[in-house]
Amino acid sequence: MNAVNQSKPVVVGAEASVPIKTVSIDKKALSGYLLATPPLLFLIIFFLVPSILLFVASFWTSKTFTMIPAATIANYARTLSASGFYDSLWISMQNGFWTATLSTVISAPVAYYIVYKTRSNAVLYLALVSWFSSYLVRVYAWRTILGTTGVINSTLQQFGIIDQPLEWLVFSKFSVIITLVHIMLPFTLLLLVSGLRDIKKDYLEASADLGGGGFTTLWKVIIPMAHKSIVSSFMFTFVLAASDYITPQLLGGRDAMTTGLLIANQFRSVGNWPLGAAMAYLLLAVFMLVYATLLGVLRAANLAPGKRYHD
Amino acid sequence: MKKESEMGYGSSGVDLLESITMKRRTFLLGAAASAAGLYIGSFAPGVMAADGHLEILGWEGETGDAELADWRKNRGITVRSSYASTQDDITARLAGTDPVQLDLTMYALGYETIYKEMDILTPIDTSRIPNYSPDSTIPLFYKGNRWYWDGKQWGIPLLWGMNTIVYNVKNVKKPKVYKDLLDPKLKGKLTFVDDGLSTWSIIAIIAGYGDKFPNLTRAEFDDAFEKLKPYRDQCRVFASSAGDAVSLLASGEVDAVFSLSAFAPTETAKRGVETALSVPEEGAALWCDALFIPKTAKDVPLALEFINKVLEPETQAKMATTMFSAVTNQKAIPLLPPALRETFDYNNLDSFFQKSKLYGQPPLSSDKYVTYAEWVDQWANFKGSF
Repeated sequence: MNAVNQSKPVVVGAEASVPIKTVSIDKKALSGYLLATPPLLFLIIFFLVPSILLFVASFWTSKTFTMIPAATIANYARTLSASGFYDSLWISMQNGFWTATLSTVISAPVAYYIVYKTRSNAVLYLALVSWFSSYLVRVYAWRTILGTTGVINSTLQQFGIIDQPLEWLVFSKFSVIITLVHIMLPFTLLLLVSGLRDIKKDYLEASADLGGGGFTTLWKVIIPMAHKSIVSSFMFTFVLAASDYITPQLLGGRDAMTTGLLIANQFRSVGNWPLGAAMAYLLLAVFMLVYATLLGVLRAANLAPGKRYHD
Repeated sequence: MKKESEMGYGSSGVDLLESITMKRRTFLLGAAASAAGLYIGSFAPGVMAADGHLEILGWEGETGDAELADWRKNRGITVRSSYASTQDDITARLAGTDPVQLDLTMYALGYETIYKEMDILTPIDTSRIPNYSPDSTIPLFYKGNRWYWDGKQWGIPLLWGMNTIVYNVKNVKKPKVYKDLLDPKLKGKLTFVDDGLSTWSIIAIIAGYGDKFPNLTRAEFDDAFEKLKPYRDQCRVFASSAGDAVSLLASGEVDAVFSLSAFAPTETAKRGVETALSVPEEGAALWCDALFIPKTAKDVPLALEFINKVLEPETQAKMATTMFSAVTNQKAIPLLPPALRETFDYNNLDSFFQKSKLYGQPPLSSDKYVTYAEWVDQWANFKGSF
């Protein structure tokens, strides 16, 4: 909508015969711009500009923690020729995929319950309560729960179900994924609740009136209408989990070396920002590819019609 | 049908801005005032300090926060200490064209060559530091080449200590050589700390290149990491930090750490787990933190006064006791608890230093030797491929 619209001519006294065009400001559109401008400016100044600078820096070289302007693809070539990069990328992608999938799938029925089955927000608040503890505390809590002498192993041993502690519970991919899912779940839940709240209950009732069962309503109505929040939920979690290197380091055991850690090494330990930047942009490219693939799959299954159903 | 807003499905149709105009203004005004307050407040310590202010970045426990409280009060000065978790934190703040303002900070052994190349050090006027003298300072730490070159003093050794094998005394027989860590009973119960400073020199020692470290050729370097693989196969987790290693020992996830700070037994004892240090025949990895004045320093005279103060015997003894480390001022030795004196064998320092050496860091650039960046990369690959 345009911010400035032509209004009706204003006729005043002797000049009545002359049509006068006046300009008034659309308050609603203006309020939209006013609301959008601060975050937009923030993103431009603190995200877009640094990102562009970092991209430029990825073609530079480095010596003794100092960047030297250049125009070389050596950093990209070096990264792509290192087997360690692919190994870490594979671990990161697995962390991202499983965390995003499980978080989204687990959140979906809870979000449905919150939006359509109850007027109370108690469940939502309960899920958000974990945000009140620090990230590291949650990671160490999971180490305590899953550890060799942790709650699960001790209980199972006490009941005689196992003789030896289950070693795969901790310092494994399992422990990383379960911790990341716990950390990410509130994000996916919020995004899905937000998406479902835009789908009026009338649509669901209309589907039922037309003979649609639960699965049909889910497949033909809810998922297509909520696909944007589903994609957001998945990708948001995917990117955060795939980039994380703290949880994998503390709980991953043999799967601790993620691309995030390689990038952090270049920025902090080696001081080779250009190489770190090149790695970061390659990781970004992979994220874009995952996003495009996800959209492609949803479109192929007729689950992403690309329409906006609400105001 | 009820309106959408009544049903609680969303806020479309409601002019949010109109309904909250006053509140929003109030909020913005409040936010602006808060931001301004915070911004101005951040300068308050410097403004309020009548006789000076120091910005210090260093290791927690080595910035004299508790030990020098009376001195700060009597002198009417303020000190803002911030803590580095790794040497990289310090390097990152002083690198580049817009370094952070610091009056005093620290470097670990070997970083002097890196910082020299980065040109971030300033010469230190030792005439203003009477506690750093041939009479007071342990000879190894007085004008040694890690802190003194080109006829100038660039760093002042503050505290030193060792990283060595730490083991659970109930579950493990005392390791006397590093190979003892390859005992099948330790399968899955050994860990490394993700800290190159305290590990790389030992990697070289185990492979038989202790005399050559930190200058290893590519062939020697590859051989060293190849010989380390059996140790890696004993692990199922790498500790992310010294604190994490203590946590792993305390929780029983591991029974031995390849190389860990000497404070570990004290820390695990607090959690009810008895561990001990073992300095194997091959020696331990020594560390030494030195204070230096970066080029961004504003109050150099006060920084020099601070250095002299932390080198006083009483201050040294207190800090070393807290950190379970060793002093550089020999006048502080009698003030140390007996257990601490014995750990570092002050009566036989020459033979102690003969066995365990003060190693440097690999070169930043070299055509002949493996560089620091290559060590970092290989260390990452090593961790990632076990």
